[in-house]
Amino acid sequence: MEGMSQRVSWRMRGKARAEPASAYVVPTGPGDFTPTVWTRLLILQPTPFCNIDCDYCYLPDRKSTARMSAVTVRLAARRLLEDGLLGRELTVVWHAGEPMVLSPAWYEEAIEIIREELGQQTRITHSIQTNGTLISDAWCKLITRADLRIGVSVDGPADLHDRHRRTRGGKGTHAKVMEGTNRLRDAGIPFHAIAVVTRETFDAVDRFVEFFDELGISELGCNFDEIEGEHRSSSLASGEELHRRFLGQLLAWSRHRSVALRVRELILAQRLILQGLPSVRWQGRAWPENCQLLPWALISVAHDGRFSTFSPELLGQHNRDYADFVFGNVTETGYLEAATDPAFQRVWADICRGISACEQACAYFSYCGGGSPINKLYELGDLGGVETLYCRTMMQRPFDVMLQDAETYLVSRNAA
Amino acid sequence: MLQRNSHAQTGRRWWVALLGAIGVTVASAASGAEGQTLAQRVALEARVEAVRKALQETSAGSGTDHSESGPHAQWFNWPNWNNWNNWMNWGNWGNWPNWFNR
Repeated sequence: MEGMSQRVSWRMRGKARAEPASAYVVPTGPGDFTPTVWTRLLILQPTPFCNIDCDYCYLPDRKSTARMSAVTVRLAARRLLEDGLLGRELTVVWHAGEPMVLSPAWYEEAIEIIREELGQQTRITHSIQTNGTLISDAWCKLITRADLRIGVSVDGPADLHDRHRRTRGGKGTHAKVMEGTNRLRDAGIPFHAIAVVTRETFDAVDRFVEFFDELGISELGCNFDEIEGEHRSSSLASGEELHRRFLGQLLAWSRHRSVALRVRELILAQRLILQGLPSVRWQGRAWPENCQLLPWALISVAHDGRFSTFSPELLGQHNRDYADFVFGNVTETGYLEAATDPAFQRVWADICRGISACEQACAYFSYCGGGSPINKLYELGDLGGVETLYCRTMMQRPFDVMLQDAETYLVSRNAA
Repeated sequence: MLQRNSHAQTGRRWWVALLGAIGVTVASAASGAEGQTLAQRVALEARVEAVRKALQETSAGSGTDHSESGPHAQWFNWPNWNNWNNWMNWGNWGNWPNWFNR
């Protein structure tokens, strides 16, 4: 009932006023929120470089071979402790560019550095999302030794995957990825997969599912080709109803007795239906918690120590209004000093405006909390915007599919 | 069995109707686009509440532990890395009937 009363209070609020940016209070630290904000994910970008050239990639500078120094790794970790941002657990995500272009030995040292800095204060998990083309036996040994969580980006069978995920020379990468996943399986290493689905995927659902099932994947995330960064269009812009049908087909497949596949978006939607979102109090009122909108909950650090927060994809995006979303550098300041940065303050004000706008305009607000800033920026040109293709694809449609499924299930139980 | 089912069914109908009535009352208090959003949100949340209550009633047990319902990192579609292998683990949701796996 408490949750229900909170939702009622959100509905009964008056219409949001169009307020100037200066009207938004700037947070000074994690204690400004209740519960106190803590960093869930520390996203470290060890290098911008990627060895392949997917045509839907949003990352800039992926030809740069610059790499993060040991000093920067240490400071990126240490600043969390200095700023009181540590919780009971911390996940370090190695990302952006292809993480595995750096050697296992590099990561062995980096992991040890982070353990030295934070290992006494929090439980640390390291995660790597890889394009799968560089998985070697040496990598398998490190993954096992350091208990790394591994995700492989693969879009399905070869014809779907190689359509978009190619080398700079235009060659498909599917065969290489299969070599890598075979090594993982031979080493007994579990891994999840993330696929970028496009309109072509919808015409091949059965093959798509069978592929991942044969690969031994039980946990699959289905992204889509988002409008983001350098990628300026999406194949889903004219295929939303096809995507809805696709989700229904995935759900049906997930129930197949012989298929172990579970789709992340559907699982998360089910969790939202069953449990809702936690709430966070800010400036005297409660909001549904959305980590992309909560300062310092997600912190991204580039190879040279520049850092950002909110949507991790923001770091590195060229944007004059928001100073490229760079709020500081770990080699000079801590994370909390971002609050004194004018760019941070502008971003925060516009994010707050976006949250208020979502509250006024979206039926799903209680289960979302205000959308995704990176997608609002690139789809709508405005962090203060409302509904995006991303909202509909990654939140609303999975939610609708699972809610309808639950209702159908309950009706059938009732009739039995 | 029949009696229990019919009682549960009657119980569900009672509070589903109540939630619907609340929704109509609240929605009618607003107007225009804002009112439409309000009505849609009320209707959606009423549906979710109805599902939750119905699942609770059909749950195999009680005292479900929801302590795992911590914040979920929703950026870039990462799963809940805090329990990487557990974000798919149905057992963490205690005694909710697993209607997903029916």
